[in-house]
Amino acid sequence: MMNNRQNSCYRGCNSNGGSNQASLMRKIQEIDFSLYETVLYLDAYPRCRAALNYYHSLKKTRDALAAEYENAYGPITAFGNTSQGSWDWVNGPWPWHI
Amino acid sequence: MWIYEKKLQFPVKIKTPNPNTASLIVSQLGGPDGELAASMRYLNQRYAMPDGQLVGILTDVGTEELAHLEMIGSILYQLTRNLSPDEIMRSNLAPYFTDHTTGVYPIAASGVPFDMKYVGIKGDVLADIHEDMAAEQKARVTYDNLLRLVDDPDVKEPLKYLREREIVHYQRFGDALRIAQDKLDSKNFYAVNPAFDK
Repeated sequence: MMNNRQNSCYRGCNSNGGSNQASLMRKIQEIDFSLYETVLYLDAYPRCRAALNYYHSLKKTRDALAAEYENAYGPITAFGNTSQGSWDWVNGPWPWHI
Repeated sequence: MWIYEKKLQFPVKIKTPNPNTASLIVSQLGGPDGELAASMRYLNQRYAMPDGQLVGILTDVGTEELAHLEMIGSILYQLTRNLSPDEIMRSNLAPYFTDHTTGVYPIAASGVPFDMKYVGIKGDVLADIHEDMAAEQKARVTYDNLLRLVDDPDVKEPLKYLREREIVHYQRFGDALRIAQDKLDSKNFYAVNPAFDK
């Protein structure tokens, strides 16, 4: 009913929800699921060595994937605006538009 | 403080709008056992917790609830896209639309706006953790009820994910109860509230 105007804002953006972007985001969502689950577990079992090792191995992969995503498609957080020349944080798509 | 991540915790991609479904799912935004109530309950209970592990569990579960609030908001946004006034008039969303158009407003499916009356913050470690375990079960029941009423697999997948999270949170709050009980003076188990009595 009211979204034609909104959608036109995203045309021509440097991050327009292409399939590579969606599949990289999906990978981040998957690893973040494991990571967050491990965080909750470690809160309850902070001396579990296996969980702590798992956390560190997930975190390494997560950081690499997030850097790849932010370099290609723009920041995930407002502190991740890598461009010196433009404020990409406000560019779409926002998560509910993807 | 919090830093926003420009991503959903689990993908929401709904192809077919459905105002009737939206009028039910809105309860998990602003209903008695919805995600807003959950995040407010846990994040505000933290200050009475005497132990770092308990604060950690409430912080991290409470933060995840904010991500769930955004998933529900995204479901509502996508379910109410591109509707005609006629489609809205013929749906259960018409009363909500009258006040909020298709904005995302925290309200129960029964029409009662979000209210902290539903949320227990007692300032007592055992009372609050028991409240949290019950809250996760009640949220799980609400997702069960929604899954009984909704057909569209695009909508069911994120609802099933959220239902599973209620179960995991229930388990972590079970751990929190054990941690709290292990650290309380066993001789004064119910006589002392470590958040208040010294």
